[in-house]
Amino acid sequence: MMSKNKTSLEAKNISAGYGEQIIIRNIDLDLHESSITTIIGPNGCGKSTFLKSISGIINPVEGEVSIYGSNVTELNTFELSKKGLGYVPQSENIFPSLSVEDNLKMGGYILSNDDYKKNLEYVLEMFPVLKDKLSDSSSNLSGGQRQMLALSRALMLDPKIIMLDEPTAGLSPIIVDEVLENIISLKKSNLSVLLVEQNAKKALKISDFGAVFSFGKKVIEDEASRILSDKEISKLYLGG
Amino acid sequence: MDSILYFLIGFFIMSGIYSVFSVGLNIHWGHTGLFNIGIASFFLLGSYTAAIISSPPPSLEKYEEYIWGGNLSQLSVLGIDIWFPIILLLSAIICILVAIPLAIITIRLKEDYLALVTLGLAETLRIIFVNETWLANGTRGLYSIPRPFDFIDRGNYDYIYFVVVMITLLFVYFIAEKATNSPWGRVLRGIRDNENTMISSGKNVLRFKVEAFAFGAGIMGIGGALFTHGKRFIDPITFEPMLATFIIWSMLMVGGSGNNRGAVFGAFLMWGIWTFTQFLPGFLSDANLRFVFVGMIIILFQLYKPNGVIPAK
Amino acid sequence: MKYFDIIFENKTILLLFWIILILSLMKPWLFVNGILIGSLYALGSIGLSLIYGNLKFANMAHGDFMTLSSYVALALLLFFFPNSEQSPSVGPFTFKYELLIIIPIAVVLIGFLAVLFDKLIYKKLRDLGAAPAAIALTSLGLAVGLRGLIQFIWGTDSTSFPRESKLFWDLPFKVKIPPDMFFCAIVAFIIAIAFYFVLFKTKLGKAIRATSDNPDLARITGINTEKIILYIWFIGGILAATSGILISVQQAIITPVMGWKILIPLFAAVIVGGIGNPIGALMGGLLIGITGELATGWINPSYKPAVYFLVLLIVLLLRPNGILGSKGRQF
Repeated sequence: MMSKNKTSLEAKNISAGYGEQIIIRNIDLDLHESSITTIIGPNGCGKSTFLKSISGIINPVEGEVSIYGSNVTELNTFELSKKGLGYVPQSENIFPSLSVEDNLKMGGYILSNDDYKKNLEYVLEMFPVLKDKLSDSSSNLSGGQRQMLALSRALMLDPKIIMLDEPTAGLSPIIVDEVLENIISLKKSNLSVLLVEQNAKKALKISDFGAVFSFGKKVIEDEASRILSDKEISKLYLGG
Repeated sequence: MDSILYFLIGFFIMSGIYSVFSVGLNIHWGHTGLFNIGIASFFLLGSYTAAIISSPPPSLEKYEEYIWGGNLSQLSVLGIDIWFPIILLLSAIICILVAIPLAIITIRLKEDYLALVTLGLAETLRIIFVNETWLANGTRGLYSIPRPFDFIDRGNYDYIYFVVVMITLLFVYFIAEKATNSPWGRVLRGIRDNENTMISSGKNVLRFKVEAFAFGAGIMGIGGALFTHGKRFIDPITFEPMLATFIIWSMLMVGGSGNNRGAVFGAFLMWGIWTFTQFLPGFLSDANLRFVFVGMIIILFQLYKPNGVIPAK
Repeated sequence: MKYFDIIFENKTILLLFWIILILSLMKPWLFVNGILIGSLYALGSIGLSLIYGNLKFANMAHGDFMTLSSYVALALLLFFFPNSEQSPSVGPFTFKYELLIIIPIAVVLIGFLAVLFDKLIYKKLRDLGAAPAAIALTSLGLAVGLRGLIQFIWGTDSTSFPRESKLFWDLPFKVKIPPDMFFCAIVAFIIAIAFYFVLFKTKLGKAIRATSDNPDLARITGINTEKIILYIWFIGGILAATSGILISVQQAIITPVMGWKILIPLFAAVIVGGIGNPIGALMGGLLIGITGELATGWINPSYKPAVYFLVLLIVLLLRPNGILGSKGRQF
């Protein structure tokens, strides 16, 4: 049994939806330092809705979210960045009217000048391809580069927790592997990573923990390796 | 006593006329969500159509620059003035003819574009009527417009016209109710509430919106014709937006957007406030404060009671 | 420049471009007038476009902010400098030195007023999830109310800033311009450039553009979008106020309906340039100004508003997203 590191984020009893339609019900999920947790499940089961409800884009109708012990449920989305929460949405995750550098500047919006410079260096080391494109318009980037920019933008904050919604969507297999490798390296700085992925097998392979969502409920939560080796789950959710 | 009664009859006549406009706007905004801030365009077109048809031909003492005219409305057959309803119909038709191409251009675009276009049209029409004096005598206006049905009782004509207005209002109200309670009306409300759903359910939304716009415009044209024969004098300044567009909006806001009863109620209430505030003491009777009041009504009702005082059924 | 490519790719736009060019060569003084007046329209429409593009509604009260700023400036001028009529005017221009002091004060006041109206009215509508047409309707109410207030306080007659008549400048090609027009155009360009500097080079400006692109994402990065909106109103208010005062100086008249009357050309300029496109708004303003003035060379000048309306209709028919393209706004 894997020992769990310190809990960074606790989501308790989260129910949320859009208007009258409730998509997710009574979800409990905890994130831990230096670990990757992946949520998998069929389309429409509420994975993205869960991320949005934690980040305040959608207000949960019930439930609580705490980050390192402090209750953040009532906070506005823009206040969560100060609490160390980073989030990369699935699509529309960069600012197309801004240059690459300005996108990163927005990522570091709440930082001091020194912190901004420091984090910029760190991020450019992780994604050197962005170094030459700093003054280009971000709308000119390729799909893979865009994902890198979206991830970098979130990392500019030096977050303690980072949530990624389908970071490999629409990318070629080589780039998918690159992105996943980058995600693994995030573990090094004590980050808690929450991943939502369609590429279920590949994602679970790099994860410590996994959760399976179905029809708005969390049906399985376990160590990722256990989920991968379970034949039943494989058949139902991982495509055999 | 007599003059108070006279004043009151005048008040009811104008309220009745404004009710017609209010019902027309209700078709546009209340039922279909069409943002028409150029009601003055149809007010003007309806009024001028009626005036041009019924005014006598130009002569040296009257309207030297004007070239239309014909004393048609004085013709009565079998003691019934058949021309008045025809005038109303023609006013409505002219408005519909103008409304349709306008709608076709703008209705496929966002709602606020319709607002800008209707606003621009109202201003453009006024300029045309000011400058093209051959059309309707320019700023000198058309006056002494004949009174329909006045052969009945020349002395107490206002009472007769009051009846005329009320009958017309009832007629307009009746057809508006029939239209909005029909399946056609339901589609309009569906468009107002959620256009995308309507589109995906296969309805030709464009056609419905054009129809709604034309229908409402026709009603406004009728209101214009009623106004012409009531006031018996019109000039381009009459159609200045405050009294020809904004006050009607405030009437609909107050009365209840989305239902015709509310539209009529709002018209009477707002016209009442407009008329009777002139009796307030001191600076309170300043006409400009009424502007402020109309503006505030629109703001406050949008903020707190977007459905007005009488909510839709 | 990519703008030229856009002009040449569409035949109708190309045709209109040639028409305007030929007419301008025939009566160049009208073209010059058009640029000068257009620069003031441009300033007005930059502010309008900023609000339309970011707050996603057509601000019907924009014109009346312009009117209000002129009256407020006049009131401040007469309050602080009651003998302004007698004081000297600036160089070849008709206005007095005091006006230059008053303008920044008045403009900032109107900026704050715009912020106030957001807090009182527009924020509530946003929180209610009101549709753009409903918000525009409310701004219409504000427009009517403001105009009524102006007329109540200052009456319906026209007035003007204390001024001294000055000679026109006689230039080649029959161009005769009042020096005021020139001054106002220069100021308009300076303010526009300052605005572009803020929008493109400062952190606030980038945050505004980020919020305009994607408000949810902006919040995720830590941007307080509600505060950004207040800044947008402040800047929009300042732009409206400045253009209003400059127009009053240029036309030598202040009337309660002056702002309302130019709503149509301002909106036409915004739509031509693409809603939310600040450079487009500048080009649109110049284009509208030029078109309007050129038209007076051949048709009755009182039809100018009809010309603006016609331009609006044509743009909506041909290119509702604007000649230069708007930012993600679907028509």
